[in-house]
Amino acid sequence: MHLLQVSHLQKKYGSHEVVQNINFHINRGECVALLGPNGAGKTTIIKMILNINKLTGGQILLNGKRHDQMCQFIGYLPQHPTFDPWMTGKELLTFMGGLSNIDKEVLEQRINELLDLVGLGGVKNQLIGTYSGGMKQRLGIAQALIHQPKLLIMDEPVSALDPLGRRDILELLKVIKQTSTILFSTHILHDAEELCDKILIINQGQLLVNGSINQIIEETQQPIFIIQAPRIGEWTHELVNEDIVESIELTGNAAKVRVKNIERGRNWLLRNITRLQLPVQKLELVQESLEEIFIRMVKSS
Amino acid sequence: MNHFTVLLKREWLDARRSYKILWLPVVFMFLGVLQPLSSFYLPKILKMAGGLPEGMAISLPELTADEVLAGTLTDQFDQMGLIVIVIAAMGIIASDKNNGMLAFILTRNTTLVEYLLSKLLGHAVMILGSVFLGFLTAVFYTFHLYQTVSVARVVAGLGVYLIWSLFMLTFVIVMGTLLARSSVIVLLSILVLILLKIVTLLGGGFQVLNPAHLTNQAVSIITSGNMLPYFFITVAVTLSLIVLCLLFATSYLSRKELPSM
Repeated sequence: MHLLQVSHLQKKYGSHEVVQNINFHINRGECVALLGPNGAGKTTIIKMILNINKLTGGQILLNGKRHDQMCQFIGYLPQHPTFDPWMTGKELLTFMGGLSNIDKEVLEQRINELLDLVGLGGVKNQLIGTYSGGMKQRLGIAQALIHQPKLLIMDEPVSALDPLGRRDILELLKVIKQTSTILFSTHILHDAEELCDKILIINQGQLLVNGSINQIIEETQQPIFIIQAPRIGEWTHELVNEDIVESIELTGNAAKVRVKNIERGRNWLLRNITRLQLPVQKLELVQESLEEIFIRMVKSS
Repeated sequence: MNHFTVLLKREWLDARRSYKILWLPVVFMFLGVLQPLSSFYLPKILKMAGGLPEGMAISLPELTADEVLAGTLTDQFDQMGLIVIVIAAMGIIASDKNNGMLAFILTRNTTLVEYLLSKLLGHAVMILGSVFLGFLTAVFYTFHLYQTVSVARVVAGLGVYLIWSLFMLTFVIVMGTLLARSSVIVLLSILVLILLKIVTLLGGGFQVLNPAHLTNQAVSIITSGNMLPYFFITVAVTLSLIVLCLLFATSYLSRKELPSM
């Protein structure tokens, strides 16, 4: 049984469908990234799993049970945590822990452990209003973990932070990942690549790709030939061939020719280079990076 | 610890950190002092300020102690006091709702009923306590400057007035669940509550169904020791309106998609 099973998920606002027929699952111990440009529907999906937004179709099973009865098994870090600024860090954790029905003695100990884990031990008795963005984010992670949830869900945990704060949180997540199942949304590909076993790429409410990073790269990667020659732009129209070439992209004196098949593409290109007598300075075969795959998928959908 | 006590503790912490627990009683005690002091010293103040033309005589009615106490309710608590209650309660749901804290609290298996009741109880204790303290101050000064009034009558009158205060609080809470902006909440709440007050001035049978009529009941109990007719109907109507308001707020919030962070 999967820890989280999402099937035929749909969300409509009036006639506007923001999430369309999404299916995926998460196994125990996995770290999954929900990737997509802003407005793709990531947050809506997360809020539906949390039962903050109601589904208009499909179902979500957590541990085999309907998700609306399973809220206590999820730890949630919102996109912009605005916890009551008049509470201290420790008081917030006591409050959230109390709502999760944790015994007082256990809670006290757990709060201290978590505050040390996220590095807020020294400021636990200061008001949250005085915390920096990064500190609030770390406090948010601590409150999400307080009840030892089976699934930790984070909405853009690092997007609003400066590079230093971002690094901090990513390192912290690497530690947490070893003991928890994590689902987090991001529009920063690099973070997903660094942390996750599996990624889900979403655009305009549709699931485009679902799988492990290696698998996605293997299955969807397209080879790119980079041809560098003076005034290459004058020749590119000669290279268009719908059967073989996917796209041609010009940057200065270099043309990035994306081909559908590596063997046929190479032969066809070499033949044309000789036929046109292109003054080639450099010819290189590169593989698409995850970022290029992501951008291509999002653009073509 | 169950959810309700945890939520109540949060209210208590909020009240302390925002100093509501301090300023609310102070404001009501000030209002309580105002009525006996001003009615007692007004003639002297007028005389000392002078400025009255020779031969002009102002006859101020000789107030009795119970009239002064009744005046505290109608002239101070039902006017400035009403506005203070609305302001003290305006943000209690709206701010949680707008900054996403409410949606967040609900992700922890907390029910809306627990949440709303914690808000109501927390603020009811504070507001009713402040009204009580304010009235106590008024009673103290009235007894000191005028004469004593039957304690039983004062207590009964105050009790009736507290039901009306509870209604005002509940009404503002409901406005807070329906609306997002505090300015609109304040404006509409004050408008409706004052309107209910004004309607009681018209008299007529339908006052029986008006919660604001409870002030008149309280005044009657304090001044004469007797209730106006249909007392229990008005109380019953007010209490059921309070329950209905809460039920309405719960069902509205549970159907609405809450903004979250």
